[in-house]
Amino acid sequence: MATRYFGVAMKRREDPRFIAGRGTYVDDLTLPGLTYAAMVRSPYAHARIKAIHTDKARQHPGVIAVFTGRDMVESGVKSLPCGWLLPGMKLPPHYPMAVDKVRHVGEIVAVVIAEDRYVAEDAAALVEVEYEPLPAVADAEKALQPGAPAVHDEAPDNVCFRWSIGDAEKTEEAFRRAHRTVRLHLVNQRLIPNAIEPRAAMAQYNPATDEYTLWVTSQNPHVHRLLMAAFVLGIPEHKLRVISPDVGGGFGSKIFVYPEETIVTWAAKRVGRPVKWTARRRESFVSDAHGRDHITEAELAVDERGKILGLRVRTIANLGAYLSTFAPAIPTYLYGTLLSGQYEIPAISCEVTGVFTHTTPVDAYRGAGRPEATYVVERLMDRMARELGEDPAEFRRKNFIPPDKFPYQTPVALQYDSGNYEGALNKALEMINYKELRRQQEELRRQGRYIGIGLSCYIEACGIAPSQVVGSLGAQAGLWESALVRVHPTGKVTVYTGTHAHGQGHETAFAQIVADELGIPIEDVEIVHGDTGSVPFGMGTYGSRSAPVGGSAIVLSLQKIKEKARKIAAHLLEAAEEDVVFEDGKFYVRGVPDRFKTWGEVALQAYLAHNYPPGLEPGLEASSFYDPKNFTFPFGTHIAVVEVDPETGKVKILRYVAVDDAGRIINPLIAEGQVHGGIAQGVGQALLEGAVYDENAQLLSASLLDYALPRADDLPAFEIDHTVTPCPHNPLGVKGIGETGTIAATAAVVNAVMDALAPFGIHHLDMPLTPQKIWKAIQAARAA
Amino acid sequence: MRLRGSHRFAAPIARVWGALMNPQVIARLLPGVERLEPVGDNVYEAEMRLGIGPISGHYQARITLSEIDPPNHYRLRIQAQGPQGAVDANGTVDLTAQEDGTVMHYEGEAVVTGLLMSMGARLLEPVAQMLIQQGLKALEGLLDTPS
Repeated sequence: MATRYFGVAMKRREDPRFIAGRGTYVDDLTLPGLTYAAMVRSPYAHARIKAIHTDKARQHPGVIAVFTGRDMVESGVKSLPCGWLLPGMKLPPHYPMAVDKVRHVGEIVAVVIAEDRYVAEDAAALVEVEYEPLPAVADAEKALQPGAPAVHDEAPDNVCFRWSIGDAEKTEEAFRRAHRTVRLHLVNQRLIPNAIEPRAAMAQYNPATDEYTLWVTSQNPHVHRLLMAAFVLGIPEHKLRVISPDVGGGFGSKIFVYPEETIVTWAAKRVGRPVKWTARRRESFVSDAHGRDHITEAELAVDERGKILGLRVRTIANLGAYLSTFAPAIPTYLYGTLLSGQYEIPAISCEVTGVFTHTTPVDAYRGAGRPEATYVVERLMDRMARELGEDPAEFRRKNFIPPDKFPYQTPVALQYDSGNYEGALNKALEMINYKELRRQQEELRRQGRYIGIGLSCYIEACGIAPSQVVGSLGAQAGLWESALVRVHPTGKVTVYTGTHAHGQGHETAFAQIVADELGIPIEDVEIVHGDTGSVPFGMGTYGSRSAPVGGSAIVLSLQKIKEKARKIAAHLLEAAEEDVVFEDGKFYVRGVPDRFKTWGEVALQAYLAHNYPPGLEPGLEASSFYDPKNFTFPFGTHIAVVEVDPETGKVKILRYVAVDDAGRIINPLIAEGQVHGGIAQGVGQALLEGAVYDENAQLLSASLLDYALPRADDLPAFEIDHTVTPCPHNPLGVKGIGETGTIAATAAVVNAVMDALAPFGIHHLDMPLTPQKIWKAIQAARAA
Repeated sequence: MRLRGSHRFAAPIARVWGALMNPQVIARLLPGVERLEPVGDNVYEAEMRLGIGPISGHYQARITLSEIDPPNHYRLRIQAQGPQGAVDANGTVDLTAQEDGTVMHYEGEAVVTGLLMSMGARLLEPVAQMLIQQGLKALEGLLDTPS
């Protein structure tokens, strides 16, 4: 069939409503009798709650109710669940509101429900909580020291889990016979997500039907429904409908089941009126799950020829005060398994210690474990190339897994299905004119200008699957995806996808697939997502899974639809089914294209069933649940060129080249947009962002005044291209592209800055590479 | 946050000490005190209004004097709690008599929590210094006024 939409850089169909302010976000919604919730949050990182006095708040005009953690627990509300379990891990309870103790700044201790938001917030200030402050610890390394304040009685040493992967013995042996080794101490600092739309939740209870409806900023409404209904609130699953309308960015932070949505759902029944809560940005800072926060010791060993022998990694991962929904998976199975990067590494050993601290919980943030792994591998590759005096591009090339070795079994569980790493590297080097650039760099150094070139050859594992495997690793969920395709009597098509779009453009990209498969105009296709009341159970969107898993599920349903439609068409054409061809929206007998039945005629007959194949059910719809055979493995090379001003320490990114291989690209415009956003976030981590806690575990970088997100003038115009190595095991040949930029960019930029600082003998600085940090390092180097 | 400093008063030590032990004077020295009453020996409860940067609000404070060694030394603890956070300040005041006046040396530490810290951290120290200076100026004024 001729492709008309797949691969075309179409503008996104959803953008006119977003650009014109006609999107519908949770906070835009209202209901008759709506009330508003304001959360009373702990100012202490660790304290015993001695008493909560709610009288003044209750008496405040306009206040409807005030509830505390005890009210919730006494009514039978359970702990928020953790959706990924590791052997031997500690799983202390996490109630939606604190009971007896608070364990991080921003933890909810009470909720005020009032007639409007302002009254609710005023009254929240009247809730008097008597705290007995206790010592707190924010730093994971300090939390492990003897005598550190314990976050939970269940884990007196603050260790949640100890996890390892690879072969420690074999790695020791590799290091024993190493020609050269390098070692880096790397801090992958804590990040705060900052989606443009703050989290929000609105809940309604209908006493007539005993049904709840929750509108929530969720990346996965079915997961929200399942976890809230079955684990937290004890609502029968079919009595809770979760709707996730337009959502303004998630980056992982909207995957998780948070206290606030459980509180408003529970409270809606208690007060007998709908309840809404929308986070203020300062609430987001302390209550949205944070990302990263690793401290790592990493070592790389090579032989005389510069071929890698082994990689040894020990990481302390800060999990925060409680286990967020998927927290244990991020620094383990989404991190340790990626440590082979693009390279043949015969022996890898990785040990991870997950640690509780008195901080906001940490969970998946765009890339989720994979940027951390890439940072470790790619920093070491650069460090080793310098140690050996080799060009960093050539050192990488020499160690790539060659194209003829796929499928490639890494020593850390993953089996890469495909890859052509040298292809992407070569393209990126060519785009940046690498040889000439190195020559210019030399020349400029002689003029006292410090240019740096940084490479990042990354691997990503996305569309995490299949369910049986992830289940064996500890996931408490399957990771398939659903799609229901419903053809209407007029031939128009509605597709219900279990994925969820919060900026990814599914309504366009998925419609492109459908329109092509059915040979109909894209205008005839509607993509529906985000409502458990209409969409079959689905797993939602994270880990770059929508196209490879969700898109594939749609294709499977379309195949079923086409199969049935062909039966109907064959009957109408009075031909044998196997002789009927479907092309460009027309069914005809092979060789006789002039005598045809249109898609619309066949669809109509499916519902009329007047002139119909005997024994065939009327109607034309099909649903599928697609469980992939494996992850998909996007890869690529990113190159950053920076200049460091030695007098101010300021870094300027001069050029940024990204060559990504995400398999076949459905919509190059959307793919490019995803890469842009991802790079911006990666650059943000490299140069600007970082959550800072003081010694009392108070979050100091708790607003956009103190937490530096990248702005337009921090970024160059990106130069983006692709190589195409189709995924061999899904029907579209697609991989994921939503996280590639974030995974690659951080290491590329840091490597570039370190390259620029090499003449000063500076080998490593921890992120964010602020002017102050660089300036100090240069001063120290000059003084030495 | 650590705070320390010295101030010289023209008044004799007995007069400075007397002022510092007087609840009426304390109420005028501390910032934004709207009510202050003794609730025990050298223990006071106060309502204060404090503002740091974008964060301001009413605070319930407990003020405790201890280690009282007239007229040279005492320890002052101020525990203030409000909707925007809490302050726990604990420090010592030492007076030394000199020929033509009295030298005060103060030294202490304040633990600040909540929004007050997270939003106001960068302003905290200058604001604290300013409040201390204001208090000392006010005390000077009181000491100058004949009693």
